[in-house]
Amino acid sequence: MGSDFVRRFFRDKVAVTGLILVIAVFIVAIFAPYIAPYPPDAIDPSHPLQPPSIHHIMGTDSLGRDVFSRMVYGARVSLLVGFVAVGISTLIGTILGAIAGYYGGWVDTIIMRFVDIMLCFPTFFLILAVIAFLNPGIINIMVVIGLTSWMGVARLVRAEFLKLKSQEFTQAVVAVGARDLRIIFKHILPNAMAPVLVAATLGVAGAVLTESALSFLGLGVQPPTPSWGNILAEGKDNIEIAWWLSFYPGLAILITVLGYNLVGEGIRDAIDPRLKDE
Amino acid sequence: MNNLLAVKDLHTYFHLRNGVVKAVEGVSIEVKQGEVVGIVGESGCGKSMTALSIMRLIQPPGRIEKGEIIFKGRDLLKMEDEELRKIRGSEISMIFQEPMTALNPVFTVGYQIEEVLKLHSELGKEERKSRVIEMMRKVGLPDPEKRYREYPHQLSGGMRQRVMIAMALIMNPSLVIADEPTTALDVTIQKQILELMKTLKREYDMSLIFITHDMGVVREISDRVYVMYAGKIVEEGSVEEIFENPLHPYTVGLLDSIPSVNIEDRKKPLKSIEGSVPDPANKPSGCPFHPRCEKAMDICRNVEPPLVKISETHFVRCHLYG
Repeated sequence: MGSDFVRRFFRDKVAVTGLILVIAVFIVAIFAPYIAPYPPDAIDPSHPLQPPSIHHIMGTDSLGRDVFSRMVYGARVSLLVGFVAVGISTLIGTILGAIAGYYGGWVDTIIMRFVDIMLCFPTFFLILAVIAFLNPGIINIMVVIGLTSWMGVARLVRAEFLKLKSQEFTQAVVAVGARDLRIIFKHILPNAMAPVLVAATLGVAGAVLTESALSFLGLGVQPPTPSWGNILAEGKDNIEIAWWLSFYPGLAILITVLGYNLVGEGIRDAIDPRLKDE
Repeated sequence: MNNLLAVKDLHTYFHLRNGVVKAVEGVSIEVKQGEVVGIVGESGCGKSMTALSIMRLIQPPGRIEKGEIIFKGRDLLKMEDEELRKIRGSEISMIFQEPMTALNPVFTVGYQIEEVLKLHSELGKEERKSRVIEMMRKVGLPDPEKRYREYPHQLSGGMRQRVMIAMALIMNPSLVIADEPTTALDVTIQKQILELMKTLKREYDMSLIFITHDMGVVREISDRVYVMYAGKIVEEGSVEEIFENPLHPYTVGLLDSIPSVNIEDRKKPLKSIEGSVPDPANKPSGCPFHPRCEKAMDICRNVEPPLVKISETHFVRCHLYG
């Protein structure tokens, strides 16, 4: 399906727009040292809270650091956390959901009760509690967000599997002698991926937001390392006199989330040719 | 001729919350090498469940309770999953009723046919592809090189059914089970698919179990016929015996309900069998057909009729002949 999939994706202008947004953020993150005009942690006490100007296109913060440079480096943190956390949660959720949905019976009961138990904990406070024991830091945050946000994906995948396993094509692959793993992951899973991809894009947004909130509370990315979350948090203290400290990180999050959503929907349409070609 | 397949006293039940549904109750079927066996009956009579049971494709809450399915001398019901997996698709294969839903929408049809070779042979990539294209040509798919790269939704129903047939036959199986393969198709396409199956059956010298509710189709293709009603075989015989000398009132009813091409006959109203198939969770006592039977006697209400032997090949389950 490889080349057909790519061709269908690129025919969709909205999806391509989303992809451009996502790639733009990626390029900024990768080439941060070449794009940022100042080091992200260079303090200039003589110019605190400067509004946007030729010298500082997004202004400066209360320590006189260049907001644009911090935003550029912050893109790295946000993308890394978003991607790795969602990668972990999607992987766990997909595998558990697929097994629960395909086998049913007591396997399903055990996995889904475990999901219920995990959902009983208010996720954010669970993350806070875990981070309080571990050291705050980017790796711990990614892993903890990933380990606490897979339940939605598991439920989605299970629901898709329940629907798909009773369909004739599943019976047909059993009838030609395919093994369980092949049936589950090669034949059923691609048919179940569309809602997972949409969930994963939202998950990236969610992970970026969770990271921001943790950074805001001082349990996330530790200053002076910049993340959109801790720039935004700083902006809150000065929101009445320095709008740019809140506006730009907010805009960056918006663009990133929008980009992922458009790409996700484009992937969904492209992976399922029935939706497009008819 | 030896039996390729012998189903003996098969019972398949569904354990539902509000009771046990006895979908298949004591069915015995024999299929000889190279023979085409038709299984006919109305919807819900258990014919598809019999087919799925042979392949062991019954899913919970369904379960095969009792019986033997002897294929080439070995009981499929006693086989390990891995052994059975090797037989499925290579020695016994199945053609499904709905070509629209029996193909995976996300893979090309070429890939799906080729997968059967991947699962059951050691052939290399190039060789597999050429075998697939050859098979696609044999089942009458025009321009197979192009079709190979197409998705199921790009093909018509008839072409998809040809793809299903290609998948079923590519490993040259000894037995093919076709579960209403022509029901979902237009009449003209039905005829083409039926002709194709007859041709391929001769060419590959396979046995075929052909399941349908269409008496016309059965007559066209079968050597021997089993008539099923409410989970049981009510009559079995050669195609001549069933069509020239039908004995069970149900078989007679099925034959009377075929529209005739004869102008004189057309002036008479077409007969139908009154009532409908009994609820399998709540079957009538005695002979399950008695509430709909014109010739029902007192004994039919209470005593289940045994299978009566009429000739070497002709059997009927009815008190009229007991």
